[in-house]
Amino acid sequence: MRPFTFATGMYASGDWESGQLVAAVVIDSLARHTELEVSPAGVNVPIDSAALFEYPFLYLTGHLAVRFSAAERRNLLRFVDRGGFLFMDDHNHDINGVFHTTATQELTALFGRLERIPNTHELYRAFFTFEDGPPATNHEMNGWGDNLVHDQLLGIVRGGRIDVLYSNKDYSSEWSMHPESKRFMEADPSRFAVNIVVYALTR
Amino acid sequence: MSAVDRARNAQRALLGTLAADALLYAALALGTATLLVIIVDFLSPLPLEVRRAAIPLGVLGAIVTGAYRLWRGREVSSLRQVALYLEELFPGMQYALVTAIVPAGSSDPVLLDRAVEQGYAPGALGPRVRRALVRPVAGLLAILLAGMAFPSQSVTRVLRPRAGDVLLAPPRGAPPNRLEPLVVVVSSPAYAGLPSETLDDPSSVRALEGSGLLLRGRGAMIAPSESLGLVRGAGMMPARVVGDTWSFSLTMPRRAEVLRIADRGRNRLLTLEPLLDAPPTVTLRSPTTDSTYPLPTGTLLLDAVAGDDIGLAALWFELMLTTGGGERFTTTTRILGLASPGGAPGAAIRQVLRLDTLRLLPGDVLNLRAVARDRNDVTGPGEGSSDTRTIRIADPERRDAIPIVPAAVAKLDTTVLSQRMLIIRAETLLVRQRRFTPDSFRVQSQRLGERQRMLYDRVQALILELETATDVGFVGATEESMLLRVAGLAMRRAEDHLVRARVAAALPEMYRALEALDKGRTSRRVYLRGMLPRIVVDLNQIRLTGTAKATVSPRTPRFALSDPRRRLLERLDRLLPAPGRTAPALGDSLTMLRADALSDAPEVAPPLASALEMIRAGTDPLPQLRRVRRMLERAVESVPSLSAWRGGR
Repeated sequence: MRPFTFATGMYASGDWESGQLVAAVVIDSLARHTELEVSPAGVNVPIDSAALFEYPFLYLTGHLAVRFSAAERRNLLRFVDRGGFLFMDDHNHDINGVFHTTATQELTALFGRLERIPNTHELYRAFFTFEDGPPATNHEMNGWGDNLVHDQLLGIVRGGRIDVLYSNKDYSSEWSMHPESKRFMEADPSRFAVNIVVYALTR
Repeated sequence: MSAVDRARNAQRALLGTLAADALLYAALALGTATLLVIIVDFLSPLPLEVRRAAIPLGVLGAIVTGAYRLWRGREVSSLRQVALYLEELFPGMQYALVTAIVPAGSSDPVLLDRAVEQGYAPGALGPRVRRALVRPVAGLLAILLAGMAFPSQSVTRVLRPRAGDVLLAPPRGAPPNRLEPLVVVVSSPAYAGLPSETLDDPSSVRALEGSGLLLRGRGAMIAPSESLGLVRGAGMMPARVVGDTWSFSLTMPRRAEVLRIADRGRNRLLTLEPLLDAPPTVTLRSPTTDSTYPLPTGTLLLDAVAGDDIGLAALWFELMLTTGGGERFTTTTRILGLASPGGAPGAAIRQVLRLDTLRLLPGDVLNLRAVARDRNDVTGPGEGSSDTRTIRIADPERRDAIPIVPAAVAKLDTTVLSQRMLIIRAETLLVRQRRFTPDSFRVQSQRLGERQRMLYDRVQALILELETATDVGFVGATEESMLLRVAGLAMRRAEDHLVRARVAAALPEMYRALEALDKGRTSRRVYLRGMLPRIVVDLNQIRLTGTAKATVSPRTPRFALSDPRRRLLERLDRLLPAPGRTAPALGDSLTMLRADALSDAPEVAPPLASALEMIRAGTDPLPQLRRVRRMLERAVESVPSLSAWRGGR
């Protein structure tokens, strides 16, 4: 048994490394709110390598086009089949941006049609309670002035549980800060990350 | 008329009679064979293949019979034999006719002609000819009358046999089973260009997904049609009735399925085995790797090939050009080199792309791939794409903004260099062979063999690293590891030669290993713009300092979902030891199991089909089922779960 390690997936196309601070922020939240044994630093793992199978949770993000190679596709399929949880977040804040279009194409080709996760799903009660479903991000509330609020997350649900969670709410921007700066905030903006990880590890 | 002319006239008449006789007896043979098949088929319906062979065999018999009749009457071709025959018929000619045809000694032709004229009666041949032909004509008439006594469907089944005419055979049983015989007409989708196919009494139907299926049977008048239905899942489809024929129309589904046709307590299972129209396969032959260009100039050769199981409709290059930075990116998609292969199973396209025409800026990203679409207009179109190549234009400013952690030299790169060095040393040794004594040459060669062995060990370690995960074990071969395996094999052979001082024989293997290593080195595509900075969180300082209210309860770690093959294995295990299970019941259960296996474990579907055949043939299917069990067990065991991790609260 090993402590939970936050793994950021490296893929060939696009900019996988755009969420540079996300791992630290999520690890900070997990330690701050849970007793989960967690590694103090995240890892970067090429998704076409065998190292992928050493981690139960994989985070993918980016702004640019996502086109997986054959090896990347094969590994992602195996990873999810073996019980891994894939969380993919669109680092852009728009509707049909290139990341969203290409990432959902890839996920659909791999796992089937993405379905809307209802806002009453147990994901939103796995640790903290989010009555209205996925929490809105600062971008959605007042950051960009476009009033673009994505009200639901998408996912691949198999056997009654979420195997792949897809968000185009740009949590990657929301969670891109130094963990130390949380002390100046009224509420921890990455509490929802705790829900995602706890759900991923226990459902 | 001279005696010879008379003999020739008689010969012509006899030849005509012989030909008619041969034809009539040939027809009689054909008719007799056909009538026999009609009778047998009427009593016990014959398979389509046997009925299809009946007429060709009858024709063969007719030819043999006709030839025999001609051979029997072959003497008619000789004028002398005809003359002797006539002399026998008309003794009054006193051999004058034979003498006229075969002159012997001196004889007066006029006297001979007169003697023949006096003794010959031309009309006497007629009744004999008629008598000869009456027998086969009568036989033919009798066959015709006998044939007319059978129902026209029975005659049609033999004269024009075709798939689906099983419905024309007389019904059996009391009361007749309406579920037998069953005819299935398969109409493939128009885009596939395949002819429609009719299957007699099938237990399973294989056809393209989306094909039209028409299930037909007879006996609709025997009982109310409401009692006849097609059960699919929880629903029951009523039969469509026309005259005495019932039918069900449906479409081949995407997933294998077992249909149940039910009628008054009787059931019949029919497995639908869909053949899925595979999407096109596309390979981008150029460019072969991702690249970063310092300037947006120069040309790129785009080269792709595509193939499809049915036919290609279109093939093109897709370019996605992304420009921007920060949180604002703009992407435009372009299509290049669109080709319409018009249904060909394979096609290739080439295009030269000038980068300066794209107006690329520093930091821009160009994703390019080849895409093909097939002609499937029923469940598709199927679309396939090649791997994507990412071409980046270097951004000197961004380079400073990204924290770059230099990567260590790849182990595979050093292996390639070592193999190259080893080849150079082997070639040098070979050139200088004459300078060495045989013993010292052997020692030098064996040293190279040892080096080759060490390199092989390093390659094995790399393969292990690529194919296994810590705490998990083997997770599957990769493109790179497969190439390394090829290299490893060549290295072992090279080592074997080197140990035996056969340097010349070792060199081709060493080159083979080098080539595979080189391919393996370029097969990885991950473009590392820079490693992310490693931020270490001080867990001890912040542990449980959060004050937000949460739902905390003990939790169970997540496990991999059950493998569908495991469920098949469990179902098979429940079937195997059941004593007293009747063969039809076991057959039905296996049919259901096989339908699920077609989707979840296609590799065990053929042996399951063999087991079903054995049950139908009355033989023991247990050895075959044990084989299926072993296959499923191996497959289930080869899929380990991910490494365990701590759940926590």
